[in-house]
Amino acid sequence: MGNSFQPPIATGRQTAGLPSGRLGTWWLVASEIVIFGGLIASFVMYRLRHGEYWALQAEHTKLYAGALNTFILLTSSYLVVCAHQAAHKGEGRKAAKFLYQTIILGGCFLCVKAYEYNAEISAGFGPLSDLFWTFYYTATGIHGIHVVIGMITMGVIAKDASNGRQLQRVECIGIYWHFVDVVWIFLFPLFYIASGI
Amino acid sequence: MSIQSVTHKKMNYRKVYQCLIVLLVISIWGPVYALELENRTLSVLVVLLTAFGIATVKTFMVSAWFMHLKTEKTFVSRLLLVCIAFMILLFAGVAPDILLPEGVNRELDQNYSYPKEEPKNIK
Amino acid sequence: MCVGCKLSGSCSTKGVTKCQPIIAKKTIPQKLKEYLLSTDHKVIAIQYLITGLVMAVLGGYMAYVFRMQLAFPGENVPGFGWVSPGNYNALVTNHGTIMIFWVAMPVLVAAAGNYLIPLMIGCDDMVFPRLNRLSFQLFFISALVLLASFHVPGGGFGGAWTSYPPLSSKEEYSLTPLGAPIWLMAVALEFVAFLIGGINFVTTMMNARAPGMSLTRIPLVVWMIVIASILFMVSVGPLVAGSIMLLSDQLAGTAFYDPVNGGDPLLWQHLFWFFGHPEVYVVLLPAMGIVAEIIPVFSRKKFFGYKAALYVTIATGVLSFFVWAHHQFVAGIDPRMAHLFTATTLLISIPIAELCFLYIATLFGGSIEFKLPMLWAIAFLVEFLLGGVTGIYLGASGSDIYFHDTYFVVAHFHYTFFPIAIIALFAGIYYWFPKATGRHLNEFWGKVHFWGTTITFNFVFIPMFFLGMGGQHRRIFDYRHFPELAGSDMQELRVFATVSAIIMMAFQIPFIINFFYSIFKGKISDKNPWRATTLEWTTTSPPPHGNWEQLPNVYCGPYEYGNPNGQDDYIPQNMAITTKETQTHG
Repeated sequence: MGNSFQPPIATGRQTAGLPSGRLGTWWLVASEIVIFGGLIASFVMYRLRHGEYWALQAEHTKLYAGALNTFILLTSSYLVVCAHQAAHKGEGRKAAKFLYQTIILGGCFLCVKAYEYNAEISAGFGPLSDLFWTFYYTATGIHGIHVVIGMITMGVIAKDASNGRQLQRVECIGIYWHFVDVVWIFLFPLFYIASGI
Repeated sequence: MSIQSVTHKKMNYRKVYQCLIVLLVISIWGPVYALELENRTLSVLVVLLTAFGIATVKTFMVSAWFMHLKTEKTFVSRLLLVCIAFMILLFAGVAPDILLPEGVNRELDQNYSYPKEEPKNIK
Repeated sequence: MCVGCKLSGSCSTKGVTKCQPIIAKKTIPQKLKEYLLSTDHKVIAIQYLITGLVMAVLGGYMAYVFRMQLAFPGENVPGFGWVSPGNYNALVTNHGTIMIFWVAMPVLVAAAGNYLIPLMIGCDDMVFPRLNRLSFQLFFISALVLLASFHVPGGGFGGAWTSYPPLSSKEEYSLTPLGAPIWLMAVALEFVAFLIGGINFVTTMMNARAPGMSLTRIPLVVWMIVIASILFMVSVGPLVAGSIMLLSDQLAGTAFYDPVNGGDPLLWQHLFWFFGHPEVYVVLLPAMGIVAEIIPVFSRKKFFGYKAALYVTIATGVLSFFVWAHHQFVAGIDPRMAHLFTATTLLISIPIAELCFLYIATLFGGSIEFKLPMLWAIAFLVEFLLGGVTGIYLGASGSDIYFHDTYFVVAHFHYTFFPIAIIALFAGIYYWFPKATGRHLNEFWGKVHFWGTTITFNFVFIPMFFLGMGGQHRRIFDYRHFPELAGSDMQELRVFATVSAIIMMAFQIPFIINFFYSIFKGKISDKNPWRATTLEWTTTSPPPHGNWEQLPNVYCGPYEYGNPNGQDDYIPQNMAITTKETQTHG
């Protein structure tokens, strides 16, 4: 493909009052809400059905590792919003710096998760040991895949931003990253809190 | 947008972040404290309020301030609320079947001992 | 001398307004690469359309084989061979899956949406053209994955398009250990393709409209496709989650739907139908939109009740989320829920009936021209109404206890799906073919195709209503094993339906020949052969890359017919007329 892609006039129009990139990102978030929503609703139904039996299983998730991960993601959310602030002012390199820091924190999140998975599987709580654990690995796994996709996209956008290009995309990846954070904010109490309910 | 309102927004982000961390700490302390409580209903209530209540509050804070839903077009917030409402609808429509696997009017066979759920992977 | 002069001898024809220097001819590999990697919404739309039509031939072939098995059980089917029970199940399953996901959705939502939305709202392409290309590529790969599932050891998946566990989750029941997961992966990939495409459509309609095109000046078909995309986006989420769970059960032996280990097979049913019911409206709405475009043009009359149509469509969309368990009345759901879902299901017939009344009101008093698109549009109305009223018997839980899983259901959904996916599709093709290719389809062969298809269609499916009432259950490969269903009275109806189906398929041959012949040798069409008002008719046929030299502005609503203040008897949307008419009605 010799010539680079030229966006059509349609991409620049804003009849609804907000840029199309951001509008498209919100629609993406809406569709992801119903995907995670379906998974979480199914988990909640099973959790209520299996009551005490699953509460026993949930005692073996690592509360403090989960709390550390929540802290990591909240901090990364704060850094992303700082990146957005910088991009808004046109400071591409500063925005890229914040985005790279967010990516590193995303990596830390995955490392903590890897440690948890390792410890839990070694203790006999693998994905096939009980349906609770199947849900745990599926939900946190799909969430982890979204973290990885976010990190890769963020890397691409940060590279462009450090050259001062496409700064409006920083806000869009920010919205996606905040959504990933919000999903974790709900996964944390669902899987890590066990006290007989 | 003036420089003042921009820096004002940045101060807000830091405050929101600090608030979120405090809420995180409370949401961990709550269930740990609830484990030591005698009264079961109170224990469940504390867990629900601290773990899930705080999760909801944190979600609102991240959405409103970090995702700028407060300044975004109202259509977006309505769209997201509609999606969440449909998930509640899904739960309401499916839960009667999943939570009552033995059915509503079925008479349990007196001579049959229904197996109790036992965790196979925990000693 | 420029390209324009060279082609026609004069630069003022074909809308060429400035000289285009002669550029070097592209080689065939270059042209092919440009075509395959094009981001132009019109090219992508045609790619979706052709893929959908090819899959329709495959789905039709499958129907031919299993209908032959039902009419002449145990005999070799010409063009297939002997049909085993496993073959039969795979044919029935994949016929349904292909027709819904690889025919109805790509042609009605993706092809129509891609072609029409930018042209009808007055912009030069979709807002995210590269994402558009990605959606098509994902969709095409999903079609290949589905085709691959037929050729793996064990054969194609045979657990019905609804894929209920444990039949679909355990290989000792499905007997297709490879076919089942590959089928599921194809469907999941198709969902992702349409999710991405849907985001594109909705964002384009919301943000890229021409100046002056307020929300109530948007043509109804665009509204319908966009609302359908939203319905799809919101309803498919839980099924994506459910499919991941089912795939995990199939491949890893997890217990999401396994009651022995804590799961529940009913969960899959709910997750499936929570999507499955809005899905039928996802395909219905664009079909009704196409008919809504055609009827005003060929009655020379404004659409009766634009806002009513809009509100009724939104009401249908919302209500469609509240009716799903009418597919599960006899599955063992809580009977109290059955009461609720009966009420909501009967309620949802009201807005759709209202929409049909609006079409009839538009026709009433109009100056009707029975051109081919109009013939198909009216056929849609008649057949769909028949299908709709038979749904009432199925929506009421009492009668559904008898009718569920009988051929009554099959007849009902074919009486709704066939108008949606075939009749409305042909209406759209006959209507927009001149715009897309610059040539007309042959009227005579078009009429042969029309009457041949619509008459034989009724002869295929009316017998099935009677067979269903007589107790014939679905998904049985040989009724000779059921003495009460093997009588000659029922068997004669089966043979009649099968023979009619074969004749109906034969009547598609004139269409295929007409279609390809007319692309090259059809009568040349000008910009606006149907004298329609919407924006796509203001550009050349076919539209150039970028759609217009200069993007249009909009000054009035999309159905200003019978209004002599403009040109002829209509006012195109991009014509500025200052009369009271256009100022009060948006």
